[in-house]
Amino acid sequence: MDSHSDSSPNPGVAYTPAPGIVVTDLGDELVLLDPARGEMFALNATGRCVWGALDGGLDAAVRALVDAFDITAEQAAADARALIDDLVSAGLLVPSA
Amino acid sequence: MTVDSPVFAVLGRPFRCHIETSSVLAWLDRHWRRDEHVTPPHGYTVELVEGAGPADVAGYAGGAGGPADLAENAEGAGGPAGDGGRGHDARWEPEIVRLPDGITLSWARRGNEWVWHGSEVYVHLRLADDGARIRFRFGADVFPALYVAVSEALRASGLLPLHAAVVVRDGVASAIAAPSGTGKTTTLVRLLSRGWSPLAEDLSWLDPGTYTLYGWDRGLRLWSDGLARVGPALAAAPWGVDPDGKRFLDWADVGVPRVPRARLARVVLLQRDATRPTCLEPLSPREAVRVLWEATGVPLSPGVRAVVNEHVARLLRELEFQRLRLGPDSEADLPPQVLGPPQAFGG
Repeated sequence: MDSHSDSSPNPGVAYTPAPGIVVTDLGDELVLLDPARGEMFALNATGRCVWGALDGGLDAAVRALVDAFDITAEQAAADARALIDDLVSAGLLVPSA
Repeated sequence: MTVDSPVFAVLGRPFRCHIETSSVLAWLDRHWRRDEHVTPPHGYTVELVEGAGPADVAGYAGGAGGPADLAENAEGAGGPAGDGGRGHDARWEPEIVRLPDGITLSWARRGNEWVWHGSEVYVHLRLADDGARIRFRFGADVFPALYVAVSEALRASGLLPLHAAVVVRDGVASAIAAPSGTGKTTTLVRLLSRGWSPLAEDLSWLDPGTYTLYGWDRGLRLWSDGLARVGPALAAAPWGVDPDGKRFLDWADVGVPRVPRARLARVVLLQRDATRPTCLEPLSPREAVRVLWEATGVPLSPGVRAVVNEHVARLLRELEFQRLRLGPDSEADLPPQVLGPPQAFGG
């Protein structure tokens, strides 16, 4: 998950699930279903934490990770950026209008 | 012939039909009318109206061009212009629907309305809180889209379709889900000789409020090569041939009385695995989510989808989920006691 690029998440941008994505919360993980493609993805506890904070953007996701796990803000930012990149690339997440 | 409402009820939901074409009436009878399931009246009404002209849907200009035109009219599907220059009063979004039998349909959606266009025909579905209205123009290719519309209406009314073989013992049901061709029907038939009763071969409808599963099939359906795997007695039964070429055997001729409804207690994912003996094992929650969504299908409507998602979360907590691996030893017959009784409900 080292996918930094020019399209990396902007701290000020909030994100929302892509239209049609079905999210099932299993407690310790999230399962994301894309019915249009028939594909399913699972987020572990870290991913679930980031996903739950994304309506507040990258900054909120970083704060949520730091609060929930014993990691530095730098590490949290790197993890959150990488995950958001992956989720956007997979078509599961879109920037809020 | 026009038949006025109500013609019948589907699990208590009145179907008010205004239909001219006899083949549509026959289709309704074959796929939706199940008089053996008598349930209390339900407030959700499904209105089914056949029209003769083009789709008269405000803001929609699908016209006679069929799916290609539809894609152009839907914002984002045919290029950057969207529908802005066509005078539409709202945007229609493309929506792809995949049916369990592999058919893919391209719909357009705006809010709680959906339109599908064939070459000369259309289906228009509008969902409301207290009912659904389905208008259509008949043509030979209308039935898959009509099926989607009626299914969505029933989902909106609070029911869930379950694509699985279902067997019953001691009053509780085990649903056996698997991709087509894995051996659901063959497994169901083999379980009949182990004291199980059939409820469904492929489709049932679930009332998620009560966990009651209503069998929907009228009998067993197999491709001809499957007859070799059902045993000599059943193979000698009076199988007919359906229009799609599959062999059909009415429940009355199966030899084990069919149970029309039962409480769902367990969902079993059937998988073939030539590397190990046949066994039953727990299914992870993640796999259980996939099995449930694949067996129930994803609704068109985001609102209905959210409600179904809540049902799925509850079913994950309340039902047993297992995997039945069919190893090489299952070719001749299933090992004894391979599918024991499910645990007590909620246990």
